[in-house]
Amino acid sequence: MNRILFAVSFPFIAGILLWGIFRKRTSQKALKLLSVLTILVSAVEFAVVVSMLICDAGSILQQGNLWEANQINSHIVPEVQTALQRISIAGVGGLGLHFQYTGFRGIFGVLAAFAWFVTFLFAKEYMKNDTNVIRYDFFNLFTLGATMGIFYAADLFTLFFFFEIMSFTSFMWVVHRQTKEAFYAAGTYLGIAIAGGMAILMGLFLVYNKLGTLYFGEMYDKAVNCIAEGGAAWLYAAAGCMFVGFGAKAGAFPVHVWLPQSYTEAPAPATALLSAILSKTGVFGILLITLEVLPMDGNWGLFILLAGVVTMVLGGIKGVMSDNLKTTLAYSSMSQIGFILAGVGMQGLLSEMMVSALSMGPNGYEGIDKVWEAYGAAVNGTLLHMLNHSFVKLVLFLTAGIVFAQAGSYELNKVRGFGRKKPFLLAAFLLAAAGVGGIPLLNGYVSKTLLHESITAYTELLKGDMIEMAAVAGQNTVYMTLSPMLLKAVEYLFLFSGGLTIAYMTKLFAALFVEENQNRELQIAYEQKKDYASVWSRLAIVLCVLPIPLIGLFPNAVADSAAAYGCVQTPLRDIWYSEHETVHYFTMKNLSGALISIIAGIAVYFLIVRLWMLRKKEEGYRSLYPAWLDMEKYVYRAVFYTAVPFALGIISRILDSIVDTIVVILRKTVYRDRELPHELPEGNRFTHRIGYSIEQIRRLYCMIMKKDYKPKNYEHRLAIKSTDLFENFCIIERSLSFGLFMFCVGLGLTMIYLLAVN
Amino acid sequence: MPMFHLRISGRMEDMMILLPIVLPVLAGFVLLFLPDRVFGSRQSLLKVTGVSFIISAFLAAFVISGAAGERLKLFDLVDDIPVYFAVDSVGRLFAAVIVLVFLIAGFYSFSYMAHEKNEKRYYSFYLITFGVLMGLVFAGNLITLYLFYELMTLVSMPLVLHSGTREAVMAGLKYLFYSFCGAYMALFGIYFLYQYADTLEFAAGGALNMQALAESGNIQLMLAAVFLMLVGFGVKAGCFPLHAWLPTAHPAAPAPASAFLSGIIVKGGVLAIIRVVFYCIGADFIRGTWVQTVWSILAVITLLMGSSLAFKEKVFKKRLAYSTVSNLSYILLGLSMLNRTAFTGSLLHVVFHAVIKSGLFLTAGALIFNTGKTKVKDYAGLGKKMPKLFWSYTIVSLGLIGIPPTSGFISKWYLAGGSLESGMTGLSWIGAAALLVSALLTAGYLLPISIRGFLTAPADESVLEKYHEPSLLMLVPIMILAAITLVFGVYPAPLIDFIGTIAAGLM
Repeated sequence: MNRILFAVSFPFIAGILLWGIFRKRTSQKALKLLSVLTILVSAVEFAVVVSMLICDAGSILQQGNLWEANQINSHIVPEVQTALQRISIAGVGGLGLHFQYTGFRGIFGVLAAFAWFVTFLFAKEYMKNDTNVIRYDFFNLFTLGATMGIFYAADLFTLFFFFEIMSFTSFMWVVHRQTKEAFYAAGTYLGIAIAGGMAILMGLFLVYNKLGTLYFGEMYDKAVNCIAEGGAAWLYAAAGCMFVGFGAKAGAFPVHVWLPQSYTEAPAPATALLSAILSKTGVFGILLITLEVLPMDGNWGLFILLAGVVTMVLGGIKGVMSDNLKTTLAYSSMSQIGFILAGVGMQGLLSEMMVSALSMGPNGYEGIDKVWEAYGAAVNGTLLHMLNHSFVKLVLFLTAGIVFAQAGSYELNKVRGFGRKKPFLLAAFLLAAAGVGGIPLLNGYVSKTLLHESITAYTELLKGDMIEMAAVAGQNTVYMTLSPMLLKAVEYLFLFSGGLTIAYMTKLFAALFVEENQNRELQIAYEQKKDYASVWSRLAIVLCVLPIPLIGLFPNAVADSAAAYGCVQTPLRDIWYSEHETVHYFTMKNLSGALISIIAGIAVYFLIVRLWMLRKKEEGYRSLYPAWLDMEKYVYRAVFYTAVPFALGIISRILDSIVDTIVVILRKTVYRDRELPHELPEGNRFTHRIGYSIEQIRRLYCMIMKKDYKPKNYEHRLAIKSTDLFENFCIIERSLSFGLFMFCVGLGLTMIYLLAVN
Repeated sequence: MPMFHLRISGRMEDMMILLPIVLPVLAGFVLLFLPDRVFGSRQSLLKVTGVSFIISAFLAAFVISGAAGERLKLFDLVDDIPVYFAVDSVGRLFAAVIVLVFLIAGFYSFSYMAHEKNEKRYYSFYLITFGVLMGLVFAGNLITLYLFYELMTLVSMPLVLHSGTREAVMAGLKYLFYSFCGAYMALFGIYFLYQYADTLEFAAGGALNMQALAESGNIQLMLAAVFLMLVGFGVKAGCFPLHAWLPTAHPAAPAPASAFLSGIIVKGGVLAIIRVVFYCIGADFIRGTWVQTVWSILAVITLLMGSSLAFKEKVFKKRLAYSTVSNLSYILLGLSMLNRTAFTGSLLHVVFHAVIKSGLFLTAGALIFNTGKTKVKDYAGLGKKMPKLFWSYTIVSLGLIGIPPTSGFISKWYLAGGSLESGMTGLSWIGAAALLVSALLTAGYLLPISIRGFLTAPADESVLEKYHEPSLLMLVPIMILAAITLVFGVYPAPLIDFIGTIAAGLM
């Protein structure tokens, strides 16, 4: 059986089976068994994806080395090829599902399976007392399967298919606690997920319409043709739509609004997954757009770069200003995604420059090596920062989970001092925080250095003679319009955001591990807690911590190989055949970037956190971010949940009632029913008088003639007669014959008149 | 010369086409006029009705399978306009959908109608309507179609005013008024068409005599006539501006009848439009004209309007009725694009919407039957008590929104793809975008019921005590519909192929 298919379908099947078995069993024993089984399932999943990776990478190494594999198209030995090439399940979902294996997909498949494995390990203790754990596991396994489907997808359709499944199943994470806040967060999460899904779908329609295919690899050529034929506007529209959907999942500005609350409300293992893996699926989507739908397009690259910069700065600022452990980590995720997006944007800009350099004269631009180098730095930096961020966030959210499980809160003032005298927790948190902060010898430093390198190299290239050469060659590219100042600004914002990362991580570290809680008794209670984490939870955290120093200490061996393997079979590999030069990470130039960030970070920490946030000692940490700047509440909810439905409702109501209103108006005017004749009082004054008179005359007559008087009630008879008459008149009046009668009368009168005149 | 002179043209197999039309109608009338005491108990009434349902469905299946003949000329109504039946692929598709929903809603009603009066009358008209619908789908020319179209309106009206309340009666009258209004508009078009068509028989690609039309110089008039027919038959399909009867009439009926009305009867209008446009006039005649443009604009307006109103509506069944307005316009939008992809999408949506919407109305019926509450907000916390019902509801809801792997996604894919393919300036992408906006609104008006049902609790939790899963006779039909939604979502290939062949024959 094919391993990709197994990796995708196994979690779904396992989820259904486990749900069937444990649906009605809630005893402690059953729950324990369930947690072990989920760990087993994820372990099997992990083993399968690792075996795929080993099989593929092994076959590459058999042939030569990773760097050469990037130049040779058919690097896979035949017998392995049958197992790893694109496979399809025809007809499913209309277009059929298609999967394929590439280096990049392999790495992220392994990462996803790993993340699920450790979170299941962690959940064994964390979800111990949860009453709805089977529901959590069921949707969790479905999300795993869907995520695998996304990473191994061979076309946009398959990717979308699983992306939608993932959006819906992960909704259950956010709403899991079923509190009022959870519902609020989940309402935003679902709204943005569905709207984002629809936006992606719109992009898919447009792409399919313009390019005629959704396969990765095939779209690339067609897109190049389409742009050449002037269809770029449609592709921009498509890419813009898809950015909304994928960017929302990643947490990119301006569709990041769901992120802080959803991260805070979901259970800790789920938050770890949201941040470590699900955000990467969004980035994966954006990366694919950059590579396939708008390849080598400077405008798109610039757009993503700017979106990334705004995301990282905004996330960093909000992270510093927050007074909540988990919210800070959530904003940290957003900020780091901004770094990754900046890398993706640089890929777009640099690939455009590369194509432009290649087409300058017969041998290309003379400094083309530099362009390749910068592009390589952007590609590797993006991939590595995705990996690094995943490991770091797994550690951080899991430790935050431990804090929450013990202290019952995420508020910094409540959990302050929790970590004192807990060396294990301290070591894990410190490594992760310093890792994401970009401290040398840890992983974040490697990827941030590469990203930084690509920005500075690009700035250098802009300053050089590239632009003139391009103008001479008659090219019309985006980088010709860019000023180096803009890129310089991007670089400084990049370093400043690195500083913000350090600042909010220092804030968390200080609050958890250095400072003491203001409540003395609580502090003592915290310090006496020694059994705060079971062996399983500790194992989970250790597994995630390990790669952090590993990548940081041996960047050339670990990080560069991973990055090189990740680029196997990416569409641009044909033109990117850069000679492998060892990157020197620990040069003065690269270290100085990190140093600037660290200094900025320390400055921000002391100015903002110590001086402003903690100004009033007795209040402790206060949230500095003004509540009225809440974009989610005052922009998105106000517009999309209130204003738009209201306006649509009014317009629709009017349209809905047009015909009915016309009918009603007609019935009130021209086609009015004739009023029913009133229930007449019996007779009228005239008949009463006459009837009464006749009656009196009769009585008089009887009196005179000495007869017995018997009332014959003439009054009544006359009244009835008159009513009959009146009703007949009514009928005649209404009838056509009445009209004819009137006509005859009129005719007669006319004749009389004529006679009289003559 | 006798006007109605019977000329039975044929072989025994051909006569079989009449069976699913005549027998249910006969059975219905027998049921209607037999006095109550004949049946004694409710059980025996249900038995007789159930057997009639199964026999009718079996006969219909027999014709659909092609074992019966292909065409049957019954008698000439006037000179050279016969009452004529023909069994073709489109007819088979519609008939199959009708049989499915007929059976499911029929058996469901055995349980649901227990708390309504005049059950016998309901079943008899239900059977008669089925027979008339079979006549409609197997009609072989425009006149026969029109005949059964009018009959359909008449015989389905008792289903609307079944409960006999003032509200139901007014709804029934509104239904009648709008339907006849539309039918007369359509009739005018038919008269006009008759002059310039070689025949009123259905022929793929149409039978318009373009030469005669061009010579007479009445092309614009002809377009206007076509437009009138579109609007006229569009009434039944709930197309703006003459849609207002639908949200009034459908919720007034008992739930299984609502399901049948919303799932099937409205498709009669769609079928009539397909017959007129693709089998009488020909898509080429109106492609690129103002008729196509106005038609698609009306469809876009309707589908957005329907979804917005459903989003704002508080009464569950009424919400579903507005949703029907919106979804039928998905179908009309697809037809108005006049290309194969969109046509495929439309027919797919005919099938899927029939399944999904009857599923939704049956769910609404089950909820009303169990709790007696009609407003959406009253269903909080019920999911814990009725997990199977709410799971099925969630699946069909996802189907209507169009989330993979459910069937609604497939039809949406083809509809939007076809819309973009049409190349109409502006409208091509507006159509696709409108579908997605409408899908968003659909999510907004369907999913909160699931979410509240499963995850929240009502203010007073003790009311939940007395509720429980509905009886099997109500639950199983809904679960079957949910399963169909999933199956066609995962593996729609055979259906797409079948419809693709129809589309290829037409354009």
